[in-house]
Amino acid sequence: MATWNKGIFLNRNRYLLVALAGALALCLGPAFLDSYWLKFVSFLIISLIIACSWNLIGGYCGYFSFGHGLFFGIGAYTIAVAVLRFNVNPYAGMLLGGLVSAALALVMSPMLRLKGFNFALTTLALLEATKVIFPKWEFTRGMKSWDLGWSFPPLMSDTRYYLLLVLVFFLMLASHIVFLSSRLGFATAALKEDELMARGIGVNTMLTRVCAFVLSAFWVGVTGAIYAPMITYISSQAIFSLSWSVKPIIVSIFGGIGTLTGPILGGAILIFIDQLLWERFLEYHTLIYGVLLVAIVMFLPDGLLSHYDRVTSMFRRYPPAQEAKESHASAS
Amino acid sequence: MLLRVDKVSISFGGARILSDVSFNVGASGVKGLIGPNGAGKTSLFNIITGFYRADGGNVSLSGKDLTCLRPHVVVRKGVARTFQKPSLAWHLTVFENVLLGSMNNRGLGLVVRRSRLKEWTEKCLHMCGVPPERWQEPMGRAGVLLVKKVEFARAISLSPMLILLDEICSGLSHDETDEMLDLLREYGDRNRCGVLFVEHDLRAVQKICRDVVVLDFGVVIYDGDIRGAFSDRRVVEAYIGGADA
Amino acid sequence: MIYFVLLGVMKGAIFALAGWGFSIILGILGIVNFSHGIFFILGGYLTFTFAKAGLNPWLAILAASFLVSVYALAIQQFFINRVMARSHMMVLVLTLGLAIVAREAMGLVFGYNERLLVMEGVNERTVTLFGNEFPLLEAIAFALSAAIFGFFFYLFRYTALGLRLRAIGENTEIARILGMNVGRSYVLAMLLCGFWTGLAGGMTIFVLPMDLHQDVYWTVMSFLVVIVGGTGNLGGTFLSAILIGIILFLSSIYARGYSDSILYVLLFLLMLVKPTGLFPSKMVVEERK
Repeated sequence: MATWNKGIFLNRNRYLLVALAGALALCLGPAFLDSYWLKFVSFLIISLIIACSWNLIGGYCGYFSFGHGLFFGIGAYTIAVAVLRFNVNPYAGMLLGGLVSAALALVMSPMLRLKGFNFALTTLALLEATKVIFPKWEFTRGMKSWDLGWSFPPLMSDTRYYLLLVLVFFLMLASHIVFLSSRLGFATAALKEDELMARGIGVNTMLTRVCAFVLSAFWVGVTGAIYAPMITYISSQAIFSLSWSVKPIIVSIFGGIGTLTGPILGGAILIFIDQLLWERFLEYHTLIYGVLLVAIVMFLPDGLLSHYDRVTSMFRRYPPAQEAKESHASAS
Repeated sequence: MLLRVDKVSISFGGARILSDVSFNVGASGVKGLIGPNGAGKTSLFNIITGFYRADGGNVSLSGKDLTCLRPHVVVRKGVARTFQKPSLAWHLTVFENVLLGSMNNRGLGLVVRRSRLKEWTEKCLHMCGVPPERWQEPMGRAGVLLVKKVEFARAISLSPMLILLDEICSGLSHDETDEMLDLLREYGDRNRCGVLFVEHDLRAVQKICRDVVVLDFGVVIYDGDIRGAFSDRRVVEAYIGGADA
Repeated sequence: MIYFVLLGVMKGAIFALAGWGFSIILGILGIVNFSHGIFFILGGYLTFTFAKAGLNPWLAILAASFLVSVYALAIQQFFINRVMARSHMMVLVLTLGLAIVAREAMGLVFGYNERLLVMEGVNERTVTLFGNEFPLLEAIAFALSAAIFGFFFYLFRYTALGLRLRAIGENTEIARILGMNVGRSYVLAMLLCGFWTGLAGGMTIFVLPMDLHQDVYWTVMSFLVVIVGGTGNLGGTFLSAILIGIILFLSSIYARGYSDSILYVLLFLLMLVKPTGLFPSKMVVEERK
């Protein structure tokens, strides 16, 4: 029946088709964009992948990870060490980046027992710790003992990187869609609503969280591993910078957390704005960006997607908490 | 015996909530669990479902020990419950809420087609008298009766052997209570499951329960046929007041 | 050795001051304020400006703190209040945006250079305790923190106002129903936070060079101090701040360059072992596992 495609019961195949169509459209990029804009869209896609991945654990499960950039950096360092020190094939290196990140997430999973703020802080702490340790640790500091980072030779063309990123973007979305339309995915809805209730109806909350967390780390790791050779030089300060962790959060909340398209829309808009501002107002662009952010939050406090009722009826949607709770109170 | 509660005790801080509580629940029929406020009924439910760990005693379902299991494992073993304070997913629709129950029903298979889940959820909703027009309603907008029905539907979607109902009739009018009880009775007739029924509305208890166990200040003061319960001196005192005067 | 520990204790006092402000906002308003570090830095910069203009250093600090508290109130009234009513999560983004704006604005007004206030005769002065010489400023900071702690302790435990504030923090709905003026309490909380944090910043600028991007560091540190100490527990915050001060100081001597990461690793371990912090103020009876 036509009524079954709302809410959590995702119409999986339809979503997959839309994602595929989008990815194919993006593949046309190199034909229409010059190298500058191609690079821009590459960076945009990278940010979107991180944002969507963050959203899986942050938006859908309610665990705000403030150190998600950790996985990004780990992916980058993994491919650096693998390719530059051990001569591993770059593509294998990218996959490895994802696997190492996923493994790290698995090891970190006991942290998921922590409550909101504590979890956020601990992930942040881990990020900061890694930022300091990696340049000092012999294994990761660089090829030569005086290096402070890793230098890549040109491995492939910009276009190739771009297409790789589009592929990863699609695979990430596909994996999310499959996850969310499975039992584990439904479980995240229950989990986010009320954890005790979820356990009371048979949801293994720990397993659900761990799966979401590992999945959210994997693609970020792969992306980091693509990013590193793309910019040819990585250093600890830059790759573990806080902005890689904080921007996805802002973007997801702005676009609407807990929805598939939220981070994508939010990311695209905010990053475009940031780029435009940087072009026009180099001096003041950060200031204007901040002002815009504040303005947006003031006028659209529920994120963008709450205002696109009909469009998003096709997608998973969490109406503003106030509305639902109030109506229930008045109805009963 | 389906459920065997054996000398269960628990204290919080210094307060003894339950002391050596023992009783059984049969594999079919409705057993009432009543007692004045604060008697420890919800705590008992929490112990059975694994949310609390008892200080002493144990709980077993068809011979299998439930005592140290985590809540979601207890559900897997065949126990479903409703909550005193309705805990549904207010942001999701009626259908989705019951679906959250169905998806945890291992009886449907470890790998189950979504269409099968859909069917099963629809069946449970029909069984609870929720008409299809209401299935897409956001839970936050539903009235009390619908909320209770959905809680029940979600519980039965787990195909439980034992259902723990925590004040499922609270907040319902006379007629609504009767409707709820009819539902219960019908379900009980068609499916083999035991029900432990906590309720303040003694009229409802009398209508549907065959036996009853009465708790007062964490102690069992009566366990047996419902007809004898209200003429038992200790029960009357507990409700009217000997102990807290 | 004792000398180092005591010195660490004093350094920790600054963290305590900054942490309290954060804790107050977290506890009473229930929000995480990402522009907390801005209060700190603003306090420092304003103190610098006033002191350079000739004002007595102590007065400069006081004036700066006062201004910071006004700023805190302003952002609360104009921005935070409205967003808070809708969604606590958006407040995160909001305060982040406010921090960005504030940072850039300060850069435009004050310039982007580092600042360190070196006042003749103030920085070098020492005070002798237990036969050891301690830098005067740190000692004063510590004494001040202890005094403020006493003040807060008394306020929250024994006064009606304190009770009101705690009630509002615990359950705003009920507090409103009981007739408490929540808005006014929020104002008070914000003013207090701004004042103490600005004070901490004002004192620090005599000791550490400050630059604009440090606000993130101070926000994170305040957060850390509060979480380690256990949210909702001012005494815990004080103790954990002192502990952190000691750890940082000792590790900066014995393990140069690793001091931050040592702290973070310890925090990580702590979170695994005792997620509620060192001195949790409430017992969570909700479930036994």
